[in-house]
Amino acid sequence: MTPATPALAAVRLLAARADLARLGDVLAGAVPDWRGAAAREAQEARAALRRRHEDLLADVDGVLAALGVATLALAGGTPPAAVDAALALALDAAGRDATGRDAPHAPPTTPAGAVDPDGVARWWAGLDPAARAALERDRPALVGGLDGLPAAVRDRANRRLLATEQGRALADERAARERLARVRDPIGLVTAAWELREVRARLARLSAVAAAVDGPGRALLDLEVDPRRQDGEGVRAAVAQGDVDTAAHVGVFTPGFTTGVDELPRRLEELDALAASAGPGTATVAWYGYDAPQVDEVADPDRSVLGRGPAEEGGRRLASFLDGLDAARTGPDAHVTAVGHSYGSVVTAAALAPGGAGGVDDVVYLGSPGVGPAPGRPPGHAWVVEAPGDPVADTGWFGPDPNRAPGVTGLSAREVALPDGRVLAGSHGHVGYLTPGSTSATNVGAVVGGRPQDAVLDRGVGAGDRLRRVFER
Amino acid sequence: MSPAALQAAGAACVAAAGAAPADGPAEGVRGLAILPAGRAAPAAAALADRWEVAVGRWCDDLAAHGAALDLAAAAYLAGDDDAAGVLGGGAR
Repeated sequence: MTPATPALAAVRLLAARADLARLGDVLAGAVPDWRGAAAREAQEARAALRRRHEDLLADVDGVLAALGVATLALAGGTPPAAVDAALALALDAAGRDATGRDAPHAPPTTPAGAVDPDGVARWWAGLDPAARAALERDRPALVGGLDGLPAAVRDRANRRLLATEQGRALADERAARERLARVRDPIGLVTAAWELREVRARLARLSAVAAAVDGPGRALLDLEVDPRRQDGEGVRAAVAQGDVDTAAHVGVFTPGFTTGVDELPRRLEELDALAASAGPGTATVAWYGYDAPQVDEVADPDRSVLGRGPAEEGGRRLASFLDGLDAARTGPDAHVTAVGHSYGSVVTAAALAPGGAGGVDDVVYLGSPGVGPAPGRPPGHAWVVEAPGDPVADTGWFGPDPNRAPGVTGLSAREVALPDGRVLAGSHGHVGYLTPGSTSATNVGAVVGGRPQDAVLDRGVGAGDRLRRVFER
Repeated sequence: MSPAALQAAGAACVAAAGAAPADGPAEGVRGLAILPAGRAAPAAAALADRWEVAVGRWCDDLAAHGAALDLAAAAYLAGDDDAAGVLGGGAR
């Protein structure tokens, strides 16, 4: 591409500004004769959109002015190196908020949970096919994130979004490498190296999502990317195996502490085996749709694994996702099981709290540090697995140990010899609950498949529980 | 309150967002350079990326707001005032 001079860039930018300005016309004025709380909320939303629109235009105006000055300076004989440096400063300052972060001021678009999934499903059904196709083509981030839309639609939109985000991350990586090669001062070197590390982490996580959805029967039900989060942690996704819109049984797995989308390919392998064990007509979902707490966040009161903050935010998102599965179906309801591991069990319980997800039939907590006073589902539909040697499951950090709570049925994680001669492997520690061929995974499969009578029961009480009882006396 | 007016306002937002080239201002500065190895060129490329994200997100939120208005209109038409009451905002 031939480099554009400041004068040519100003002409192009002026035309783009006019297009952008016209878009704001749709936000002029209030919706006529609409009053009440909903009207006020809509007005606030419109006002916020108008402010962001004005900020964008002001930002463009600032750059237009800088381009004009650069054009005049070059024409007036100012050394190009001086004009280049001055223009670079102006360009660096644009597109950021007052604190120096990337604009816009509002959080990134994360439509999940923004509107009622039943309403979304009705709205989508009422659109004509051309409008649906246009939205899917032009606004993949919106369509892919709307709980309540058909899985196939979300999958197509999210795959398009994934390709865009991968392209953007690759371009960012190339730019970061070039910056690193250019800088000479120590502070610049550290900054550039950090930027390169960050963008490579994001690229790796996006590649993991791409690997996870690269297989028959896979569907990318959600994808959200916030490039400003560190270590690529701003990549959230939900990947299904099987058709959640038609399956008779759907199991939704939520992970816990230190997890991220980088483990999706391995998790999908486990969920494939779980679905096979559950029986025909089963779909599973690896739901990595919240920012799981990380090790370096333990001291942050808002993000710590020791607090409920991430679980409550994740619970709202998970509830919306689960309601969306229900809303998107046109046939009979599925039998839905929510499965939460470790801190993911706290998230799952938050999603099932009163006022939360309504369409979940069974819940299974794996290696849970407690889920609060109520297990989330009635007796006979709330299950817990605690493996021997799992220290997390003995903490009772978030309430009573679920394997001792009334109304919760314990499932075995020990080695079991079946009547047909097969031996299911025992699990040990905190991370092997879904290992294919284990008693634990087979039991979870039985619940997900609507066959709890086939599960091997066990309270999972071990040395940790006995020790804690001694200390509680 | 006219559900039709509400629906029209929502449809206008969705249509405007759909018609918007998210890369408009970004493409205005992408490729800008004064010197072959100068600082303005990478600064312009980085600004183009920031603007592409910012305008894209604003368009997404505009479409979400339009969808919310459309949803509220549909709920009013169905006589479900309670549902309509929680569907006003859309864009977060």
